[in-house]
Amino acid sequence: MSQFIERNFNQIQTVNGTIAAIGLEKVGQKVAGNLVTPAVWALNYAAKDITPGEIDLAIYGSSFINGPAGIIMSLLKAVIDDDIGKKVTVIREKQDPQYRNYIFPVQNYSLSAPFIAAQNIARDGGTAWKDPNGQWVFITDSRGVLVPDYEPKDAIDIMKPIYPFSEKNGKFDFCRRTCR
Amino acid sequence: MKKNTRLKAKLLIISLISFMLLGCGEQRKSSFDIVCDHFDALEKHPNLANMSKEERFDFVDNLVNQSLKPTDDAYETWKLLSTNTKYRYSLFKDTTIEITGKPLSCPSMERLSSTVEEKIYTQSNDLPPNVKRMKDATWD
Repeated sequence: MSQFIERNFNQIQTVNGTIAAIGLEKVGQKVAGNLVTPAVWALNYAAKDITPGEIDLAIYGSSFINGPAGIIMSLLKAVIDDDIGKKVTVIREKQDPQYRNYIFPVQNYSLSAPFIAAQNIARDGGTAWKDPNGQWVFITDSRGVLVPDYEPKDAIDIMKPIYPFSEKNGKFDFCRRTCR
Repeated sequence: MKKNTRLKAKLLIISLISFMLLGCGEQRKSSFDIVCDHFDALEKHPNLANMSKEERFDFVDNLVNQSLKPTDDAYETWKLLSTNTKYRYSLFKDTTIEITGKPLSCPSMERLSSTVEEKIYTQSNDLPPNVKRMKDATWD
């Protein structure tokens, strides 16, 4: 299994448009969140020094993946990760240099669909936004702390807490796009 | 020739059945519609006028817990908006169209949403330690 993946690894990681071709444009919806196996983590780690993310570990913990379906799913996961990575790189380059390293895809924050994950971030006190390329991202400071008042550049959609801030039961009041 | 005709006929029947099934699928209620139904039930509650915000929330929340799974998108959306009374309806509608691709119209939720709120145990206008404004954040 791992040899098969390994042989196809570079190609899988670099194929453009595959996501659209297989109908998984809405990456982050639960189906996409399930696409992983430890084999791919091992290859990612060997090739790129990337350790499994929160999503990977959660899915692995649920023992969702096994057998041949797992191979296909893991290939798709690799493609999706690559697609997200490219989009996030584009988004980072639009922001001021000091913030670029602290911008992450919302898929890193929760297993939910991206639109819901963005709301989870705003509810927890952070700023999430959607780039024209369709990817939702969020920002933390260099210590991993959420930031409620970041003004993203070139965003087509924003979720953030309402100012003045109001937190109830650990949840911030937040709104979409044009909130103050 | 006969075999080809039979094959075509079979394919036609399968296609028709598939279209019919797809049609049925489209008419099925989404989980977002189900949450709306719970607001309809709340609006029809005989004791609505005497119910507090928290009692109204508990009424809907119990129905959501009974009817939807925690992994459901509508369940998660309902929960994350439990105290966001002002923007609940607009965010719920936006999420519906983002997830299902279909618009949601829920007059009962629109009317009642601002009067339905989870019991507040803690409330603050200060930021917790895990949230910092830009001017206070660290950018090494």
